Amino acid sequence: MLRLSLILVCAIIGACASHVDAETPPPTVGMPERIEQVVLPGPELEVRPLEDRHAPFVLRIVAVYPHGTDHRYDFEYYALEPGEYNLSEYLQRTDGTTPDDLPEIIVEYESILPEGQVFPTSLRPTKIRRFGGYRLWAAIATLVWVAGLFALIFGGRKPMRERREAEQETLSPADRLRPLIRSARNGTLPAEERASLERAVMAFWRDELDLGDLPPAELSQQLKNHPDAGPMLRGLETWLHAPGSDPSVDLDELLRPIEDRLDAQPQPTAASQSPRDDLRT
Amino acid sequence: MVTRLEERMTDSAMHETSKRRNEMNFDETHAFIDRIRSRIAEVVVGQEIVVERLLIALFTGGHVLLQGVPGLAKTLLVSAMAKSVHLEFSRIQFTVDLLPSDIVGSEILDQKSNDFRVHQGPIFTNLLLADEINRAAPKVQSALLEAMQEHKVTIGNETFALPAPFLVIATQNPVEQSGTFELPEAQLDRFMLCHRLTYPTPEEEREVLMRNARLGIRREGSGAVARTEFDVLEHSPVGTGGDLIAAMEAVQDIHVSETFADHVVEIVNQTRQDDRLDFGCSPRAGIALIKSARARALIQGRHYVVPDDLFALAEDVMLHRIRLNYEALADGLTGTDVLQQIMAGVGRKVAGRNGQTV
Repeated sequence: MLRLSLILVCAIIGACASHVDAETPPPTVGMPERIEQVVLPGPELEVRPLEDRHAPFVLRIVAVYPHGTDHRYDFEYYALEPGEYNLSEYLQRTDGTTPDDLPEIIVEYESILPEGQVFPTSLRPTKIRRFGGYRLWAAIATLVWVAGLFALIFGGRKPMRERREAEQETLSPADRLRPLIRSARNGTLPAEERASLERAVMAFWRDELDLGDLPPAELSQQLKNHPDAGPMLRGLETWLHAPGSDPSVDLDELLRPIEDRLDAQPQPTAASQSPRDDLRT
Repeated sequence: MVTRLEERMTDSAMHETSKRRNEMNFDETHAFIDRIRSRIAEVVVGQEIVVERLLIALFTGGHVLLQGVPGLAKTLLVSAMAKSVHLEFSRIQFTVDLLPSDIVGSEILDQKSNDFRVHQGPIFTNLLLADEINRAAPKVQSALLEAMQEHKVTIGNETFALPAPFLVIATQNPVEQSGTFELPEAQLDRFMLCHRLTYPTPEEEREVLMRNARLGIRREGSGAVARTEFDVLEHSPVGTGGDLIAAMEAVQDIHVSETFADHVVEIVNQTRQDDRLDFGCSPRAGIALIKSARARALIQGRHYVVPDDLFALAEDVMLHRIRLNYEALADGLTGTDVLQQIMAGVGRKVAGRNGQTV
C-alpha cells in the first residue's frame, strides 16, 4: 500500500516536472534546461550511454541524493530538434538493467525557426574518379618530374663536364712536357712559361712516383724528400724563385733525367710544336 | 769619365751596404721570431701553424679569422702573443645586444664642464680579439670591419686613427649556428687569413693536461683560486715595437719571383672559372697570398718565396673567399675538396699522366 502511494506521488511529481511552470513557453532547440529534486523510485539511476552520435536529445544527471529507499535527482538536458522527450527513456539502473517502474517525465522543446523554413542544400562528399581528372594529371606531372631529374643527374651536367675535359686532354702529358723541357734546357724558355715548367715537372714526378691523391703541400714535401725528384725540384726552385741568377744551377743537366725518361716513352704527336701552343690547347 | 766611374762605385758601395743591412735585419728578425715562438710555447702546447699564421698577420698588417670549437686556447694564444711583443691587447666578447658604440666608443656628457667628451672604445688597441664575431648584429660587425679596413674610426664629428699596428683576430664557432649572423662574403674578404683550428694531437693533449695539473692554486686576499695558464704568462716582452717594425721591413725585402706571381694568378684565375663555384677569389686574395707568402718565407728563414708557401697558405687565404654553388653542394663537395682539386688541376693542360698536375 505504502509503495503504491509512493509511486502515485512520484507520478504526480513527474507530471508536474514534465510541465514545470506551464505558463512559461518551452525552451528552444539547443538551450539547456534543468529539473531539480525529482524523486524516482527504486535503486539509483544513471544516464543511458548514447549510442547514436547524432541523437537529438542529451540528458545529464547533475546530482543524486538518497530519499528513503528511493533517490532524488537533479537533471540537465538539451534537445537539438523540436518535440517532446521522455527523460525516463534515457535512464537505466546503475547495474545496467532497464527500469520498468519509472513514470514518464515529459519535456518539450520547440523550434525557434518559423514553420516552413527552407534549408539550404547540404554538401555531400563525392568520390573522385579513380583515373582521369586530378589524379591522372598529378601522376603525369610526377612522372615527368622524375624523368627530368634522372635526365639531369645522369644525362646532363656530369657527362657535359666530362666531355669538355676529354676534349681538353687531346695531347698526351709527354707531348705537353717535352717542348717545355727542351726549351728550358737550351735556354729558350720564355719567362711567362717558367711557371708552367715548374708545375709540369712537379706533375711529372707525381705521376712517376704515383702520388696522385696527395694534397699539394704534402706532395711537395714528399717530392723534395725523394732522392731523384728532390734535388731537381730544389734546383729548379732556386733557379726560378731565388733573387739573381744562381750560377750553380745547370738547367741542362738538371732537367736531363726527365727528358731521358720521356724519350723512353712513346714519341710525341705532331700536335705539339711549341710550348705556347701546348698551353693554349 | 772619372766622375761616372766614381758614381758607379758609390752606387755599388751603397748597394752592398743596403744588402748587409738587410742581412742583419733578416737575422735579427729571425731571432725575434724564435723568441716569440719560444715564449708562446711556454703556455700554449702545439698550435705551431696558428702561431705562424698570427705572426704572418702581425708582420703584414692583415687580420685573421680563427674558426674552431671552444677550448683550443685561442684567447690564451693571442694574449701570449700580445705580451710577447709588448702590444696592447683587448678582448671583446660579441653578443647579440652589443652596439657599435660599445666597440668604437661614444661621446659622453661631462657634467662638470657640461661638455661632450669622447670615450674611446676597446678598439683602440694593437691586438684586438673579437670573440665569436658572428654572434653580434650586422651593424656591429660592419663597425668593426670598417675600422679594420680604414684603420680609423669616427666618433661624433671627430675621426681618430687607430694605433699601429692594428690587428684583429676574430673567432667563430663552427657549431651552434642558431642565433648567429653569418659574415657576408664582402666582409669575410677583409680577413687576410681564415684558419681552421683543429684539436691537438694526443701527445700535445697529454702535455696540456700535465702542465695544467702542475698549475696549483694562487692565494688571493683571504682565499685562494686555482691558477690558470693566464697566470703563468710571462709579462716581460721578448721584443719591442722596433723589432716588430724591423720584421715588417724584412717582409718587404723578401723576393717574389714573377714565376711565383704566375702561380698565384693561375690559381686565383682557376677559382673564377671553376663551374662548381658561385664566385671565385677577388684580386685581394692574390695580394693576400703574396703578402702572406713573403711573411711565411721570412718565418721559415728564406729570402724568397717558393711554391710551398703557396700550397701551405692557399687554404687559409682562399677558402673563405669562394662559395660552392648548388650543384657542388648537391654532389657532397666541400670548399676544401674543390680548392684542393683546383690546386691539383692547375696547369692541367701542361702535364700530368692522368690529366692532373700540381
